[in-house]
Amino acid sequence: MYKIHFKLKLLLLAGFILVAALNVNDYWLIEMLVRYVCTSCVGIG
Amino acid sequence: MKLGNKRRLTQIAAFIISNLGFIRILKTGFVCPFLYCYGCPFAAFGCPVGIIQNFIIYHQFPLFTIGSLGIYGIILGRTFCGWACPFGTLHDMLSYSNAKRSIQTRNYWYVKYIILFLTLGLAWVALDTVFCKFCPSGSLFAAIPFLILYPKTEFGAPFYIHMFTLVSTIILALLISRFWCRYLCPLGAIAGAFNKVGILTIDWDEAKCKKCKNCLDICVMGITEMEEVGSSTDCIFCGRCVEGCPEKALSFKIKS
Repeated sequence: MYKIHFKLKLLLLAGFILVAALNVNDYWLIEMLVRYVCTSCVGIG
Repeated sequence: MKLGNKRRLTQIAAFIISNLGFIRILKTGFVCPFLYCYGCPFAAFGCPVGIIQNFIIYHQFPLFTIGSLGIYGIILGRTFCGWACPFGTLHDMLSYSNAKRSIQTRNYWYVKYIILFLTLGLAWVALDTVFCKFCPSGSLFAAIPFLILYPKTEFGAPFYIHMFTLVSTIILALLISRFWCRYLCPLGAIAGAFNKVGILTIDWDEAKCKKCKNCLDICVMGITEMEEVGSSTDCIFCGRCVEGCPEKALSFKIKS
């Protein structure tokens, strides 16, 4: 029972890795957010 | 080396790594596993809460962010809150060294989930990063450094709102250990949910335990039941209970 439970966790982890890997293009959008100052975060927007 | 010292070292290292963005090439598109504002002029990673709001505004699913948070969460649960988050580190510095003098209760733990849904809902409705306008972590790690670096910038009401939320949080953190992490952090709400399915846990050896409850007395997150240590959505795996158990009945364990 416990082993199946652990395998499910590993399956979930594999699922998240797959989701991140398939959407790796988002990296560039996030990099853009990080590179340019978020004015609302600093209270000038 | 004592667990507490190891934790302090990782917190310092996490703060330094989070600020490596002062080297332009190290401003990356990776998702930060803790609340650290990418409005900080030196930020090296993206704050997940800010990213998710931005994706909602553009009506896109933040799948890379969800995948990244899932990976962090399944492997380590809320460990990043206890061992890496710079805002959590500030709370550790503000909190009493002995949590016995703080409030030991888990009442209102669900408020952070309400904050999370409000954060996502308001981003959808207002098409703006509403949470970021109030985030005290953003106030400390983005607004203040920006003010220091660019003192000639004209700051208006939003800046003073930021300062108000920061000062309020600091005052409450002086009264209640890890106040922000316990009650308000939307990222803590997401990461906390993974504690239920995470691989890391804190193992409780009932045979060794003398039920002195010292572990619960020193818990900065106010956990009140032994069964909740290592599995509660509030456990940040800081290890104070592991270190404070006189019988060594608690230990970190990989569920395998």
